[in-house]
This record gives sequence, C-alpha cells and structure tokens, in this order.
Amino acid sequence: MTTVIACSGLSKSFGQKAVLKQLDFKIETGAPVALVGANGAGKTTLLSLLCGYLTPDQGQIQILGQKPGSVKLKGRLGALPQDAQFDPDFSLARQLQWLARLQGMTASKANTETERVLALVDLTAEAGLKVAQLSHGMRKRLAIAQALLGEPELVVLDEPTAGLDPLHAKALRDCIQQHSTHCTFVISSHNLFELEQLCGTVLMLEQGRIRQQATQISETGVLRLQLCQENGQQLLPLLQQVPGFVKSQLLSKLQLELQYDAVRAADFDVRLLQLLHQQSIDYRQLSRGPSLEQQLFQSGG
Amino acid sequence: MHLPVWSHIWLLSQIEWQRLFLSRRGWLTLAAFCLLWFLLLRYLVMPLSQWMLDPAIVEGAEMVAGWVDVRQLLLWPRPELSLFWLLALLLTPAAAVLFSAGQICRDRSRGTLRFYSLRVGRDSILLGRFFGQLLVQGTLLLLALLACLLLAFWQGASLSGNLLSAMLFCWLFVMLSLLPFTALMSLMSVWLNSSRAAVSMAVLLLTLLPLLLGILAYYWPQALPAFAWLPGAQIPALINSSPWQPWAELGLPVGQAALLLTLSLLSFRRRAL
Repeated sequence: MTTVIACSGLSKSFGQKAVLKQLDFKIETGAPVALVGANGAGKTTLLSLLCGYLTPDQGQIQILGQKPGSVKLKGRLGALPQDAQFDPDFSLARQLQWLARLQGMTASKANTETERVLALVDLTAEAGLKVAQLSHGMRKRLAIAQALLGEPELVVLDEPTAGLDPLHAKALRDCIQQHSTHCTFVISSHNLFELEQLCGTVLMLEQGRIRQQATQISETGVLRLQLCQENGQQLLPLLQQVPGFVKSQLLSKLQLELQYDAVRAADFDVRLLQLLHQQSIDYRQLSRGPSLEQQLFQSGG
Repeated sequence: MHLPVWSHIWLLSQIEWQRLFLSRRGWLTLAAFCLLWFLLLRYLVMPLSQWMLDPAIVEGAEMVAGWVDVRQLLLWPRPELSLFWLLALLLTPAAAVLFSAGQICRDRSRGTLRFYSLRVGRDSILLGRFFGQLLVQGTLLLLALLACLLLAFWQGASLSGNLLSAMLFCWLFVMLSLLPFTALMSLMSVWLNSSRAAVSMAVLLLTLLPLLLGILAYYWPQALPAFAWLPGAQIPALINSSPWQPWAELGLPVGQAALLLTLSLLSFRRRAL
C-alpha cells in the first residue's frame, strides 16, 4: 500500500474562524475512505485544500507525492466539488470532451472517454442536451462523470449522492465499488448507511480536528440482527441456549445487537440462523460488527 | 498524457472562441457588434468617405476638433479605411472592456473553473482565457473590416496590394492597442466576482486615474509623463498616423499588457476557486 494523501499540521481559517486546526492524517491506497462530520465541521474546506482550490494557512499536503495544484498531479486526481456547475450554454458531451482534451487525450480518445463516463452515470441519452436543460440530479451525475474521466488514481467526492434518486444513488455506489479496485475514493457524506456499505476507513472531523480515524474491520464478536416482526422479546431467552452467547441488547423494536465469544463459537452466526429457522422467526438482515453510527457516536463518546 | 503549457493555452483559447459561435451569449455579442458596425458604416463612414473623396476637401484638409489631422487620414488608400481606423481606435477599447469582463469571474463564481483546474494549471487557464478573448476580438474586428472593404468596393475601390496591406496594418495595430484593455479586464475579472463589477471598476479606473493624474500634474508637473502609462495613451498618436508608420507607439500597449497580465497571474495563483 502506498500513501495517496498525507497531511501534517494542516490549518485553515476564514477571517477569525479557524475551520481546520492542525490536522495530521494519512490515507493509503485501497478501499474508499469516508469523511464525516457535522455541518461546518470543515469537510468541504478539507476537500478544497486537497484539490488545490484553497491554500492552507499552515501545514503540508501531499497528494500522490505532489503538492495540491501541481502540474504533475493533473489528470491523476478527480474530484466532485460541492456546488460546482458546468456552463449552461453548452452540451454535456462537448464540455466533457473539452475536459478530456485538456487532460491530454486525443480528439478520438476524448470522444470515447466521454461516452464511457456518460454511460457510467446513465446520461448517454442526454449527451447532446445543454446543461441548462438538465435536472439537479442529472447535473450532479454529470459532475460525477467528469470526476471519472481518464480513470484517475484518486477521486475525491463531496456529497456524491445528495440530490440523487435512490436508483441512481445505488448505481453510483455500485460504480464506486467497481472502480475502487484501481482507484482510491475519498467520500464526504452525511449518509452513514451509504458510507458503511462503501468505505473501509472513516475520518471524523469535529470542530476542525480529526476526532477519530476508525477502520471498519468486521468485529466477529458482534452481530446485528434485524427482524421482520416485533418478536425480539420472544427471541431473547432462546438466545441463551446458543453456545458462545454473551449478551444481547434490543436496539429498537426490530433490531438486536448480539455479542458472542468469537474464539469459542466461531460458528455463532450459523447456529443463530438455525435457531431462527427452528422458531420460524423471519429476519430481514444479519450483519457483523457495530454500525458506523454506533462506532462514531456511541463508542467514540 | 501531459500536454505542454502552450497546448493547454491554445485549447482554452479555442474554447473561448467557440463560445462566440455556439452559445446564446456569443450570438448576442455577434449580433450587437454587427448591428453597431452596420450603423456606423452606413450612416457615418459611407457619407463621410464620399465627402472625403471630393478633391476640394483634400486641398483644404486640416485639423478637425483640434486633434484629428485630416491630412494624415487622407494618406490612407481609401477614405472608408481611414474612417474605419479612426472609429476602431476610438470605439473598440470600450467593446474590449465590455466583452472581456467575464473572462475569469463568470466561471469562477459558477464553480466551472474547479473542473478545469484539476486538469490544467492556473496560469494556463488565465492565459488561455486572455488569448481566447483576443481571438474573439480579432474575429469581430476582421468581420467589421471585411464589411468596410465591401463598402469601399461598392463605392468604386479596386483590390490592390496597397489596400490589403493597409487593411492588415489597421487590424494589427487596432488589436495591439486593445491588448492593455483586455489585460486590464483579466485583472478585474480575477479580483472581482461578476462581470458587472469588473466593468464598473474598469470604468472607474479609466476615468478616475487620468483625473487624479491631472490634479497631481497641476501641483507637481514632474508627474506629467505618467499620463503615457495609462491604457490607450498612444491612441491619439495612432489616429494621426498613416499606415505602417507608428511602430514606435507599439511598445507602450505591449508593455502595459505584460505588466497587467503579470499582476493578473500573480493574483489568480492566490485566489480561492
């Protein structure tokens, strides 16, 4: 694994307001990395610094071994900036072709690449339309398409699914998963469910500092069970009989968290499923490890 | 796959040029420019050039309004061209200020420059936009010049090397005198957030600076040579020049443009996108 982003002592203020305070962190190549935090925590400022849109007041940033904005970085870093819009007077295809040409592609390669990225975000049929004719969600997908032009090594996405319908949000998640084999994604979002599905590491920004850098390694000692009906109370005494069971907690009417001895009972999940089958208890989902929400806001305190 | 800087600048210039013909705003600019020059050629150049063809005028030619030397204008191969030269030098700087006001600020406020800056350096973006504006202005000026040539043919001129050479001179020297105005708008466009604010600031600068310099020179005459550093300072001398004469006047607009562009580049490197 190599370091794609390295920040040390990074600070940025706007007037009197310190938005980022002495950030130190590294991101390695591999699974997508989530950037979370409340509104105003500094997520967009951090991403803008990484892309070279802003300059830091203090500290160092290295992106793929280069300073942000370096000519050597051009085309290697893709980004979906927040609220950036294309020129409304030109067609989608024309503007993507311009960007591809500026990225160093020949005219024919730029055409092929434009078709490829438009297909990725399901905008092939709209290629000839002017940007002014697109809906908000379509414009967002177009901006995502430009971030994927030329298959960059690192892609920074600021709120990629905000404003997208569920179908296209899922398609985008699939696309990120598919591309994450050869590209590292850094994704800022408020949608923890989405980040949980996509990301291996989570950076949490709070009041301008990295509060937590959690790695979502599956913790085999914890299972989350979501039932179809409100029969959790019925299930609790039965769980005592399953070898390795330690304790359970009813998180909601339909959701339980189970802790078990992972060393003595590595097949706890199989036995649990057998129990559910024997008792004819329907379940919707069984997942390993605590939720991202729990990791960030409960255990992290 | 990295392109050299000049290649980025050329691609960005072409994009600016395409805006003129492919966007609604470009079409409006083109339409306004064509209408303006149609009115000028039809109702000013046409009657005045017929008047200037009168031999009696040549005899009595003198200074008009105290600063336009009609004798110099009569040295041009055709009166239509000499009047075009006069009008272009007086009017096109204002057009350059208006047309090139949004070269950076429009795309920066919309966020479009963020897409570009991931692919090309900021210097290339700024220079690409600047040269793109020059391409647009050069195209518009060429169209107006061709219309003037058609008018000259319609009034009895015949095609000659002398006429073509004078046309080339006219296009080149007008373009060079537009350089500092376009570079000034590049700087205004980096500093300010909208085209309107950029135009307002440019108008303030271009009117207040001579006024302040005038007051300064009144009390301190040594400041008088500073007038020569204002954009367009060489235009009165150019107006009273015949074709291919005023090479000495070219250093000033080129120097002014280089200075303003350098300031613009330095400012843009530090500007948040």
